[in-house]
Amino acid sequence: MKIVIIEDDDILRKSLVFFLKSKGYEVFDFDNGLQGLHFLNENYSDLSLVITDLNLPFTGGKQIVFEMKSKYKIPVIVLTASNVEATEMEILELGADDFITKPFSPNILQMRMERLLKV
Amino acid sequence: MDIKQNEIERLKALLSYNIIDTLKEEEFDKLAQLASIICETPIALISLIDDKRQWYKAKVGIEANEIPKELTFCQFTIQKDHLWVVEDVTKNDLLKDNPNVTAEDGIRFYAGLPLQSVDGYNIGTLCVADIKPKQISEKEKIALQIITEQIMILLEARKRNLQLITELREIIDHKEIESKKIIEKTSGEFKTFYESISNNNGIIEIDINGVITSTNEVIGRLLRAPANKLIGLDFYTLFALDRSHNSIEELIEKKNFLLEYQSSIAQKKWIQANFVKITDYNDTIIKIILICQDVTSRVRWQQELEKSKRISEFLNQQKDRFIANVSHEIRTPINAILGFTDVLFELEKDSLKLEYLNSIKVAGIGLLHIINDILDISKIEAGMIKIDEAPFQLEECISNAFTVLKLKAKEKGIKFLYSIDSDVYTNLIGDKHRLNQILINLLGNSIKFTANGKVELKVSLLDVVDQVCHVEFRISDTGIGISQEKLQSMFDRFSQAEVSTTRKFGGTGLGLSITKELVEIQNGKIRVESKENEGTTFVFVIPFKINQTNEKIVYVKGEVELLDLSPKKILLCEDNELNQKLILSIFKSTPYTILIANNGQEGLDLLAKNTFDLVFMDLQMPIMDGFETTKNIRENLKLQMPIIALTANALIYEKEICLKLGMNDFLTKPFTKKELFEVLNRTFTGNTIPTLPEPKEESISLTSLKEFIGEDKEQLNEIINSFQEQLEKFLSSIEGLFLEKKFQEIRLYAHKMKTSFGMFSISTEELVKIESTDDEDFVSNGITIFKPLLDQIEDILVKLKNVAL
Repeated sequence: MKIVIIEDDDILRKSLVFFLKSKGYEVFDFDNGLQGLHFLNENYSDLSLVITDLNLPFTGGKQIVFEMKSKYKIPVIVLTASNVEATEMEILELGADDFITKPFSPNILQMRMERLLKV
Repeated sequence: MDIKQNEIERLKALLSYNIIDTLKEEEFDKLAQLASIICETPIALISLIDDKRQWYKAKVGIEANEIPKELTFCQFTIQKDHLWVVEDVTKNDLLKDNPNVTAEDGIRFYAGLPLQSVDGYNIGTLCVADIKPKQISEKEKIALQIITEQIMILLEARKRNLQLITELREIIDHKEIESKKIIEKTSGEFKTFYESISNNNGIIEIDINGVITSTNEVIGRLLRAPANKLIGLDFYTLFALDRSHNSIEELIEKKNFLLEYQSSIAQKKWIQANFVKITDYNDTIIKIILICQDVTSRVRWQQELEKSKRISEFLNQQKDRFIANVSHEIRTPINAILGFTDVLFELEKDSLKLEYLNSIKVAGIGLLHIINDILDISKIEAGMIKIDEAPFQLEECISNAFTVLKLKAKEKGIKFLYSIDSDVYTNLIGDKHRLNQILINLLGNSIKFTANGKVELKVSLLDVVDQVCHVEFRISDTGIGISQEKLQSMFDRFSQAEVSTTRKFGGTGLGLSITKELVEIQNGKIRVESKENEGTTFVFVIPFKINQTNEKIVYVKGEVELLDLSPKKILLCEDNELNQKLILSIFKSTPYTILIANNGQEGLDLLAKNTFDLVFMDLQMPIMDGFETTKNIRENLKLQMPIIALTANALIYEKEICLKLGMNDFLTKPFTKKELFEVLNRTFTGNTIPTLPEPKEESISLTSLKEFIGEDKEQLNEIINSFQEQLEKFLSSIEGLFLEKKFQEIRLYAHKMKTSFGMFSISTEELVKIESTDDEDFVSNGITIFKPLLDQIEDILVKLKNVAL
């Protein structure tokens, strides 16, 4: 399964890539929204899931969620740094399938991913 | 002769009454009327007689105002001093031929009394006359006498009044002349004054409404306009001044005001105007005089000056930033040079090459010192050095400095010692790092310039005021000393006693300047005493707060002990093996026994067979999650032991669900030993002992990272390296961002860093502080606002080196 990760923090992104690869996923990662969105638009038919940060350089996570859900219906999990209720509600209103608050355990993320991928 | 002289005196007396040719006066008229009524005569006269005529002051029965003296009856009366009665004038020789007698219906009866002045002169008469002969009774004679007296009283009163008026007028006239003189003098002075001002200053006069009423030539030249054309214009319009902000009253109040004048053709002019109000005796403003001076060149010059000041300040800032950046950049390669030199030292056996290597090392260390000095000075200049206020031990700090320099002193064969007076407080609050730096600078300096003998530090207590003690540090050497004239500039930048000194001893000449700045930012003072060829003594005094607690400072990393040490059995429902190991290791040294269930179902099975004092419940587990398991424990097994949720999310709703399901407390992963013990203490004893404030020691945990990476060392190291790079990048760019006032970028940067910090379980408190600082606070706090964060990052970098695998 092909997963796209868009996250500008090197540490988290590298760690996630390593983790997901170790779980057998094929992972494509980007550290900015612009490249990420470009890749998504080119390869959407092959992709199973998108994990994106909210605050991203060039193109923000909100726009990515919006485009993914309105065009291709690919499941999206948002990584957010704040546990402000308003932000969480906004993410869900945008159409994100799930979100997870940093810092998080990769196992939780994996569970949430699997739930979305089974459907 | 006698008669003539008498007549002159009489005329003088008459004139003194100043009565002839005056207007009718009612008082006299009434007396004449009275005489006519009493004597029953058609004619009654009050007359005054001068040398030529008889003039009637009051008259009854006569048309004329006067008659020539020679035709009068009264000319004879005034020669008498009593009443003269002529019952039939036709029988009187003196009067019978008079035209008034001979005329038709001529006078037949005459009675007259002289009007005698106070000094005895007959100045006129009261007379009655009839055209029929007549007799006069005694009563009538007395009445005429009384009337005469009355007339004289009137005349005398009148005369006195006149005299008074004259006197008064004289006085008034005199005063008037005097006042006039004063006014002339004052106005003369004012005029001279005004003219001399007017010669050199522009003058504009305005009324209270701001309308220009008068100008002079100078202002005309100044404003490049014919002076008279300005009259009638509105002052506010002329100088494009806002009336609502600068009312006439405010301008007068200000006295001095800078006006701007933009004429249509010429360049802008700046005019300094003095507002002088001119008031009348009621203090009402009549007009305002503006004394104006052309200050255009001064203002221009000032503007130029300010502009160049701004530019130079900017350039200076640029310079500081450049120096700070470059110094940082230079340090990195020098470290590499020194590091590899050390490596080569180990490998090299050839003595010549070893000597060369030594030269490289010495030069490298020297370069590093210079760079450090420059970096320090630019940091001081940029106000980036903030003084720490932390408890420290004085002797520890001093011995630290001695450890650093001991070897150097030993190499030169110099005695190197210190002594601390017994009354000096040991536990102080202050900045031990800065104190250490000062000591190393000064002691190092002394060692450098001392060939033989000793370098000594004496520490003594000067005084204690309000729990602040002034500690004196006296560093003396037996070195080359400094000449008196050089002592003055000892602490100046780039100054060394002699140019030759630089060649012999090296150094940037910044060390003492930095030392002085460091002492002074700690509110201290430093001075130097020296004798050439005998030695130098540096004395500095720094105020330190006394550490009241007086406890020995022990670095406790927020340790918490378990309060209830009775043996307990605990069930851990947790699928993650790492977390299982972590908890097991924490409880290894406690009397608590841990049993592990890999999922909820396993947990329920264990609970059915055993009794537990407490359950740790992970919420996300395969087969049966924490929520389901808890529900089962409470509803089916009906067990009441405390259940503590382990949650990976700090989501409020999750916590609420936990409590609703009957869980007692929760721990958010990743948690520390401290947090774990605190929960247990809360649960078992219902209270917690207050933990010591956590010192700013950074704890780094790879636990969460390992959840992602597992135990892959290569991968872990790569991640740690990226984190180091990320931190170093932050360190090197934050100052630039701050100086460019890119506060929003800084906030975003801090926000972004939180993710990585979280991966290493590092407190994001400082990042959050920066993230939530507004522009105003950045500006008012200056760059020092970053100190806690930068310190934390430096600390993390040190710790990361230790955790690197």
